[in-house]
Amino acid sequence: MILRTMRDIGTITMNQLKRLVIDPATYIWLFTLPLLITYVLGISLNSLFAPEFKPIRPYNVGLVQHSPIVGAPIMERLESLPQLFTVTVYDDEESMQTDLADNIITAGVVVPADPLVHPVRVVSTPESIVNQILYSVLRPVLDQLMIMSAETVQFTTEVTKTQLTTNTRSNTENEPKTTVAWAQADSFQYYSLAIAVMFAMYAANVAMQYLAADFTSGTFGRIRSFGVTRSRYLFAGYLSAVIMSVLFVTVMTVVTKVFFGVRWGALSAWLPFTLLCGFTSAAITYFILSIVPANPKIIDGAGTLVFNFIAFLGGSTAPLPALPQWLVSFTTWLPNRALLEGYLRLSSGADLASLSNELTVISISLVVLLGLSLIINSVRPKGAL
Amino acid sequence: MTNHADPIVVVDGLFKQYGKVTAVNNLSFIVYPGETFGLLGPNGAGKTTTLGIISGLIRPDNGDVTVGGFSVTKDTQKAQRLLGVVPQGLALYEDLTARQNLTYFARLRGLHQAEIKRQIAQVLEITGLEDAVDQKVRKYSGGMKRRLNIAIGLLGNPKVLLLDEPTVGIDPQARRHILDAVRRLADNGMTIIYTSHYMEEVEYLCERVSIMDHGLIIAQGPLYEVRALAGDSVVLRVPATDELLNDPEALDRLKKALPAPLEPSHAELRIILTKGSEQAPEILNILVEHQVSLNGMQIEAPNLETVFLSLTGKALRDNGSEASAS
Ligand SMILES: Nc1ncnc2c1ncn2[C@@H]1O[C@H](COP(=O)(O)OP(=O)(O)OP(=O)(O)O)[C@@H](O)[C@H]1O
Ligand SMILES: [Mg+2]
Repeated sequence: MILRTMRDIGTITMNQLKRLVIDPATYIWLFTLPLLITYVLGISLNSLFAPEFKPIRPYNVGLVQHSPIVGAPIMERLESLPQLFTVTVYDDEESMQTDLADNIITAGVVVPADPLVHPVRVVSTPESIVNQILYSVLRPVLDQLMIMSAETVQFTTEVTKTQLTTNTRSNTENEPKTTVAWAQADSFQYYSLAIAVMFAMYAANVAMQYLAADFTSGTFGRIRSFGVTRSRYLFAGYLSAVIMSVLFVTVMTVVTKVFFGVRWGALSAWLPFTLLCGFTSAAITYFILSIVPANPKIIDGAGTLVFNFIAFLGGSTAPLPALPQWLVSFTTWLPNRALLEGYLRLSSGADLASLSNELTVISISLVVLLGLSLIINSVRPKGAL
Repeated sequence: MTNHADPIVVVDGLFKQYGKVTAVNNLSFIVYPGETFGLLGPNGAGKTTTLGIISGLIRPDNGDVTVGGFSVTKDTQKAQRLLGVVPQGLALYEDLTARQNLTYFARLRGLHQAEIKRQIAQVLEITGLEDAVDQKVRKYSGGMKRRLNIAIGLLGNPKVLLLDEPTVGIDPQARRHILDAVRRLADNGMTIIYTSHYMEEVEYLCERVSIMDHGLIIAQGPLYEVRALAGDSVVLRVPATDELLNDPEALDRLKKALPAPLEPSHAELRIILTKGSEQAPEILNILVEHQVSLNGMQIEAPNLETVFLSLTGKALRDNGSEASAS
C-alpha cells in the first residue's frame, strides 16, 4: 500500500515536471522574464542603492579599544567617514553603555583585549541601520586583518558576526528600523534575490495550474477511477510545485551569479534555505488552490493578484527601505519578506543559525498555510476537486 | 438476446441531487456480461452523473451499484479494478505523445513494466492508432483524440467499459471508426455501457437501452420493445429547399398541424408524426399546396428518437445536429 502510494506520487510528479519542462512557455515566463526584470531593475534603480548614502546627521559611535592592533585600523576607518560617524573613545565599556542608554551615542564598538579569543562586538539596536552600516564598513577592515596574519583567521570569522549585548538602546523613534541587509546590497544584488523570491511563487503556481487543468478536463476523475486517491494526487501536485520553485531559484542563482556577480551566500546555507523557499512558495499557491475553484485560469489569476500584492509588501518590487515605515514594520510576518531578508542575510555572509527570526516566520507560515489547506480540502465538497 | 448469466452491473435505486437539481432520480437497471447497454438522453438527463456513480467517483445520496458483486460505495477499489472509464471530456494530455499518455495512465492503473508495453500495443491496435503513437496528441484530429481517450480507458483489461458520449464533436467518418471499434470490443465479449444523445449510435450498438430524461428513466428494455413504444410514429424527411424555408406561412401551418416541434437542419426538414398515418395526409397536403417539391422525401420507421418525442413531447437534441451515423 505504501509502495503503491509512493509509486503513484512519483509517477504523477514526474509527469507534471516532464510536461512543464517540454513547454516552451515555461522558459519564457519562468526563466527569461524574471531575469529580464532583474536586469532592467538592476540597471535603472542603481542610483537608489548608491554608496553615497548619507544620514541627516552623522551617527555618534562609541569605541572601546583594548587592543590597538585591531582597534587602530577600526578607528582609522570610522574617522575616514565623517559624513557617517563621529567617534567618541571610551576607556571602559561601562561608561560607553551608560552613554548608549542615555542616547548620547547611537552605537558602540568594543574591541576586546584578546581578539583571538573574543570577537569584536557592535553594540546597538538590533537590526538598526547604524548596525548594518557599521557591519558593512567594519567587515572589510577585519577581513584585511585576517590576510595580515594567519593566527587572526579564527577571530576574524568570529568578528564579522555582529554581536549584540542585552543593554541596547530601546529608543528607536528617530531611527528607521529595517531588517534588510540594505547597506551591503547594490541594485543587482538586491533585485536578483527579490525577483527570485517573487517568481519562486509564480513557478510553484504554474505547476499548480497544470494540476488544476486535470480537474477541469476530467483527467483527475479518470485517475481517481484507477484507485489513486485525492490526497495522493494533491500531494504529488504540491511536490511538483516545490520542485519547480527550487529549480527556478537555482537557475536564478546560477545565472545572476555568473552574469551580475550576485552573492547568494554559502552553498551549505543556500541549499536548505532554497528548499524551504520552495516549500513555502508551493504552500502559498496550494492554499490558493484550496480556496478557489480548481480551474487553471482562476488559479493563474488569483496567483498573479496575490503574488503581486505580497511581493510589493515583501520588498520584491519596491525596496523595503523605500516603503513607508509603518508598512515595513507591519509586514514582518509575510513569508516572502522573510525569504527575501533571509537571502539578503545569507548573501552578506550570515549562516542559517543567525536567521532565527526569518526561519520562525517561514516555518509558522508553512504550518499555517498547509494546515489550513488540508482542513479546507477535507471539508470541501468532493465535487469541487 | 436472452442472457442467463448473473448480471455484472446492478444499478439499484440511485438518487443524486445537486442543490435543487435532481440529477438522478431512482435509477435502476441491470447489465449482463457481454452485452452493450445504451443510456440515451438529452443534455442534462443525468447520464454523466450515472456513470460517475458507477465508476465510484460520485457518491449517490441513495442506492448503490455493484460491479462484479462489489459495491462501488463500499468496495470501491475492487469495483474500480473491473471498470474502464472513458470520460465525456478528453481526459488526456495534448502536450504529450499518445505513447507517453498511455504509459503514464498505465502506471497509475498499477500495471508493471512488461505488462504496460504489451497492453499499449493491444489498445493501439484496437483503436487503430499504431501509426501515430509517437506524435504529440495536439497534432491529432478530433477523432484520433477520441480514440486515444478510449484506448486509455481500455488499459488494465477492464471487464466493463463505461463510454460517456465518445463521439461528441467529430465528423461522421471518424464517428464510424469509433462505433466500429466499440462494436469489435463488444464482439470480443466486453461488457459496455454506452451513453449518447445520438439515437442512431445506440440503435447501432446496443441490445438493450434505457432512455433518460431529467434523471428519470422514461423507457427501458430490449431495443425492439422500446422502439415499439413509439407505436405508429413516422418521420418524414423533406429536403429543405429555399422556397420552403423562406415560406413562413407554410412553416406556420406545419407547426400548427404538429404536436411536436419541427426540426429544421440546414439540409432537410424532419417532420415527426407521432400519430403516423393519421397525420400524414394533412401534412402532405400542406406541402403540396405550398408547392414544395416532394422529390427526395423519405419516410423513416419509428426509432428511439420518435420514442423520446412521443414520450416527452420534445426532441432528443437541439435542432440541426451536425452528423448522422449511417
Ligand atoms: N457537480 C455538479 N454540480 C451541480 N449540478 C450538477 C453537477 N453535475 C451535474 N449537475 C446537474 O445535474 C444534471 C445532470 O447532469 P449530467 O452531467 O449527469 O447530464 P448528462 O446527461 O451527462 O448531460 P450531457 O449530455 O450534457 O453530458 C444537470 O442538470 C447538471 O446541471
Ligand atoms: Mg454528460
